[in-house]
Amino acid sequence: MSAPVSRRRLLQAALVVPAAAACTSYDTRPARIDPDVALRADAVARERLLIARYDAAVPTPAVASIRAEHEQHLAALGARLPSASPAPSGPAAPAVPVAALVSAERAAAAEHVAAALQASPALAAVLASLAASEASHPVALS
Amino acid sequence: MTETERLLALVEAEHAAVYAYGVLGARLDDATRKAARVAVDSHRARRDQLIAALQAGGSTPPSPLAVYEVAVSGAPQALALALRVEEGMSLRWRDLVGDTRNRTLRSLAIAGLQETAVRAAQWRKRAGITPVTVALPGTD
Repeated sequence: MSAPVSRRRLLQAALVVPAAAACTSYDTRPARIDPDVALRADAVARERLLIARYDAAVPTPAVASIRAEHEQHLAALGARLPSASPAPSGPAAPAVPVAALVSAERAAAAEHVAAALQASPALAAVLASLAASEASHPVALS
Repeated sequence: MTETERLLALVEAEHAAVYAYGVLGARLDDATRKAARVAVDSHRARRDQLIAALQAGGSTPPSPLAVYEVAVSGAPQALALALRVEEGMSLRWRDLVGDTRNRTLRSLAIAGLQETAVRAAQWRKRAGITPVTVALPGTD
């Protein structure tokens, strides 16, 4: 599970397949898709985005500790960080403020909850823990 | 465990949580006691929701015990107990998430897990424990 598949990509694939299948005499019934696959990929993308925001924040012990927890979240989802990409050139961007970290955590928590309501029980339990962890991070940041 | 067994265990745990906060609240300073009062109100509300869910399914919810084994000698022990209560509830709420396909119950369980994780972080912060948060609330 190294490269996350975006939902857009999945939708495009779903649109392409019936058209191609229509030209043949093959079985055109849609393959059964496990909804957990997309839910998990979206959660991995959320965690990677959060880590990128913490990487761009002013480093403090709380920031470092929460960033490490997001890496544990990736591991719980069966993923990890991609190998380091080349640093962007040009002037350094201003540091991400703590208030933006707090909003990013709250948004991710809400998305984890929405995903947990659609997932299988096993994935739902993981997503619920992630949602609870993100909900608690503002306590450490304030 | 079945969904009903999880709900029964959660009601028993919420009864114990309400009792524990009653004992430990008395050992806290005024500002901290206010936080404990907010916490106990939340535990009562969740307990009542769990009782309603059990009754709707035709089960009889357990009554609280008269006394629970709780010893709190001072403020540090009171904070430690509050943290233990929240961590214990987190475990039970997460178990319910993994044991139900009922959307309403799952939603309740996720909310319970989030609330208890947030309160656990608040108690760790007040007790000066770092890190303040954990990566996977509701797991050992």
